[in-house]
Amino acid sequence: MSLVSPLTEVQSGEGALRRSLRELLARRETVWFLTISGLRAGHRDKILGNLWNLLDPLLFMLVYYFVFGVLFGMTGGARPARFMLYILTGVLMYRFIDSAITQSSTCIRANRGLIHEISFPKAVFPLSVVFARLYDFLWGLVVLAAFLLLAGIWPTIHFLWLPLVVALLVLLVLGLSLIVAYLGAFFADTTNVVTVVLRLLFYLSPVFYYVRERPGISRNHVFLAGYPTGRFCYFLNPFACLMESLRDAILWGTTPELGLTAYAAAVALVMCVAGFWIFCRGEGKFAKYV
Amino acid sequence: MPPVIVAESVWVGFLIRYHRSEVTLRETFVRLLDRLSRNGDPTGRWSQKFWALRGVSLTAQPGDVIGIVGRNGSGKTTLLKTLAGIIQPDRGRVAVRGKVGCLMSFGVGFKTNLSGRENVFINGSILGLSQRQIRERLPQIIELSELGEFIDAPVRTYSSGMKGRLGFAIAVHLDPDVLLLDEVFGTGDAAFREKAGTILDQFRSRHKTVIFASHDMGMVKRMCNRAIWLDQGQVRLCGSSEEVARCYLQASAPAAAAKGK
Repeated sequence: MSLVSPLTEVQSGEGALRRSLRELLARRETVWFLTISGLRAGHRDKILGNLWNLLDPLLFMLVYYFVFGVLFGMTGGARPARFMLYILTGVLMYRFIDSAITQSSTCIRANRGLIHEISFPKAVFPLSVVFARLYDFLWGLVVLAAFLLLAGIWPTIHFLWLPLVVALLVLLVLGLSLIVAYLGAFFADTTNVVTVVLRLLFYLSPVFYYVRERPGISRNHVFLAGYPTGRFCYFLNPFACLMESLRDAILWGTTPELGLTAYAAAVALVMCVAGFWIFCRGEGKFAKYV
Repeated sequence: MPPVIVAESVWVGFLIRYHRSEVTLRETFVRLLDRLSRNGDPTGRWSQKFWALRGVSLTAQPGDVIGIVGRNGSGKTTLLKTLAGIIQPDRGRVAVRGKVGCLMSFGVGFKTNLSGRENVFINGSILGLSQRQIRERLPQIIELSELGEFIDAPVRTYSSGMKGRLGFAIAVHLDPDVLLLDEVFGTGDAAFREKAGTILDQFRSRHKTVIFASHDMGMVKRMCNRAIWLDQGQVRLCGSSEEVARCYLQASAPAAAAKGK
């Protein structure tokens, strides 16, 4: 009976974050539903449809292999197949980061109609963006696994690190997506800035070059090989740490360098908490500004 | 009986921006420099605060049907949005008991590329219904919206009346304790208004609360037991719907009202 239920304060203030999170938890189905409908709508008009999610990283892998492997000779003595798979791991991961964060920057404005008409936890939008892109990423990993087998690289026990690395990546991307979505609600040109920053991130992440000495790779081709300080600064980028951890687990078949993984885990947790905190405290203002 | 809605001296302000509609990072940066150079004087030539609601108070009991009347720009929509929790008040307090359903200016919340059916699922889900509940209520929603086979056509092909009926059907089937409606009867035809009136009567008989903004005084008089007249963000008159409608008509068209007498 509605009469016994308490009066609920509408405005923010004390406990706004907790209420936001509780409401969000109650809208799990909404997130799921928006994710599915976003996935369905994404490639509806294209002939190859969802195949593009798999073709696209493969084609980029070939492009980067041609440019950096063949033209610049950066394979470092590795077999072509191994270098291609090295690139593919990086491309898949970068694509997930890039697409999730870029789309999050516009997701609040793209749904301004709903925001003006209904009161609900707005975090469903960045969350569903991240989950839709995660779905693509996971399919990419399946294809990657198939290629690894074709290239004769069999899974080792270290493959078990994969779920942990992916979970950390999701937390990190989710945190950043929430922050970017929040900024995107207030500043219309957030996407422009985000695009440039992500492009910089691409070059500052080991997508198509080596940063650590690995068996079968000549030291001359390892970026920052003789500069410990440079290397330290380089690995302040948590995405670089996670990319290398992912490769350790599935490509090189070793235990990830735990220092890197632990650092990335700490950053991911902090970002995730910060993301929810910033977003949920500010979402009440969206309807006025968007 | 305890009130369902309590609003106490609610103030809602908007920033009116002179130069462009969208806030950008670049502009914010320039503004910051500008403010620093003028030694922190916050109000400048960039924008101005506009108070859409100035201390509006309102209490609604279960079973109340309240009409909100007033000229364009008097704050009707802002008041409804604040009660619905879409906009937060800058000052004052708003508290609501139970589930709130709201339907604002028609069909803006629909995703135009998706079909009516898909939109029912998205809206219903965001409004807090589970997939199963939506599936159960879908036939009734389609029936009330009178869309028939058009439910599977993209919403961009709908007329404004069709969008309005669909929105109304969804809002009603949310089974809210408080229903907030903004000008929703403007686009519907006579038959639909009739139907909507019946549904609102059902709401009232089940001790639910309805608040709606309208320019149709006939509708306000027929359906509401109370009415509020908003003028420039303030309550000018609050009382029985008959009285408020009469005073409002007199004030907005004194000549016509005098002739009527």
